[in-house]
Amino acid sequence: MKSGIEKEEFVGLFSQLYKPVKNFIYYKTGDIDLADDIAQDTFLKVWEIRKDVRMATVKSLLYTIAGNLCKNRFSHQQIIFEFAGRFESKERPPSPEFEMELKEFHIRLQQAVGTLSEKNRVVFLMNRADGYTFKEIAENLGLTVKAVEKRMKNALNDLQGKIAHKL
Amino acid sequence: MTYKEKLHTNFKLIKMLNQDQSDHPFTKKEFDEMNFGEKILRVAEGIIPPEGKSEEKALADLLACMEKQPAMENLPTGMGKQPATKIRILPRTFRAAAAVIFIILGFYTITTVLGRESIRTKVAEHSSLTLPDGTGVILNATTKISWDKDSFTGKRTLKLNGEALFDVIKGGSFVIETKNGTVEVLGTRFNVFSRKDEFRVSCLRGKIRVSSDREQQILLPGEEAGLTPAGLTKQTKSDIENAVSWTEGIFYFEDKPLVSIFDELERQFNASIRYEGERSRLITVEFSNKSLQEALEVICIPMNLEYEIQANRKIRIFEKR
Repeated sequence: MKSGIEKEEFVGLFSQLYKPVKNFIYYKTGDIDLADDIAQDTFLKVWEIRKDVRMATVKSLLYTIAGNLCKNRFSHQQIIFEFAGRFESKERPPSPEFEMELKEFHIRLQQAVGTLSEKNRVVFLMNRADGYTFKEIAENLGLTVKAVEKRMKNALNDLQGKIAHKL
Repeated sequence: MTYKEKLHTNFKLIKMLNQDQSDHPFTKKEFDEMNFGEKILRVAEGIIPPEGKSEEKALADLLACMEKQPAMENLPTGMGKQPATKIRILPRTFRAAAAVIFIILGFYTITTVLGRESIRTKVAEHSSLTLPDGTGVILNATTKISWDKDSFTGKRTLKLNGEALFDVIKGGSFVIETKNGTVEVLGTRFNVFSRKDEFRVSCLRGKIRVSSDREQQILLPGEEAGLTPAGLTKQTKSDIENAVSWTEGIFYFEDKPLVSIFDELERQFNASIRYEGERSRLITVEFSNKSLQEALEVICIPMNLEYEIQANRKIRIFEKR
């Protein structure tokens, strides 16, 4: 099988995967500046070892490297996740009351997402915010689809408990 | 619903999600009919992680890094073991160039102490400059800003005392710390005024968060936050552009204490004013920094005051008898 990647391929890879990988790091750490840093280092690492990289497996490689780099930087630090996402209404034009209701819901949801365990949070957000299917998430993170499903379920249960508690 | 039933519904929901990525918008009626788990999942689709560095910039930085290490052919393949190489976003030569640009552009003085860069304008001086990240700043007279040289490109935080207009380049967070409160940029163009106990932030474009003590306000275009005895309050201004007219040499004040206008006059004309009248009076006025005499007339005539220009730019202002 062909191994090694060229510069054009690498740039293509970047435009395809930079955003999702960066988001993945953000979901893990809750720090966008750090996410920018680690995402860059991740791609740089892949570039350094490009001779041994195969396009077929590069996706999961990127996520593995990113995950490792997060661990290296944060092995002794407790992460406090503060979600800085924005609210976007999908109904246009929404009635002001409905918009308020959604906004309220959204804020509570964000707070609750911040308190999820890292594993559950990453899977939940990759599926919900980035729109990855369970199969894609499983491939990228080196998990089984069953495991992804389980984490999704746990995340949803946790969120229900936390949001209902506040309502 | 029992716990078991809830788990079962969730299980079905999750299964469904796996096949169908539902990104259709929903209406109020549809939302009301959803069960709780569904609501969570659908609303979560609207979560947008923060933008951070733009993709173009990230690619440019990355390519710059790759150029720097062309001889990586024999690098050991063990990954994630050594600490990652960090790049400086602004190379050394560039920093020097940036510093030179600073000096050429304006009247202000630039000093570096213990890794902190400070810029200060004197009385009657305005100046515009570009920060290392490309953000444009216009400083009003007697204003000081400072930032940490090494960490600024990573964490954009600066301190301000005085008044300045910011045009922030897209990127990570941008925070301005003042004695009276903190301004965090969520978008772009805005004006910050923080002198003595007076604190005023006007948002022209984008979105900013202002906090002072424990209070917080989010400002949208056309809104202004100010520190009043009641705390940090927000109001909508139809004439928000007036807040930044100083950048064109026009000074606009609405219902402001007369004494604070005299402070501004002193700063703009390098004068010293002795005011002998009632200190609590308010005024709405607009003057230009072209002529001191004209400015004094614009202020004094409607307020029934008289002024007297003495030697060394000393001015005495008193009530008409």
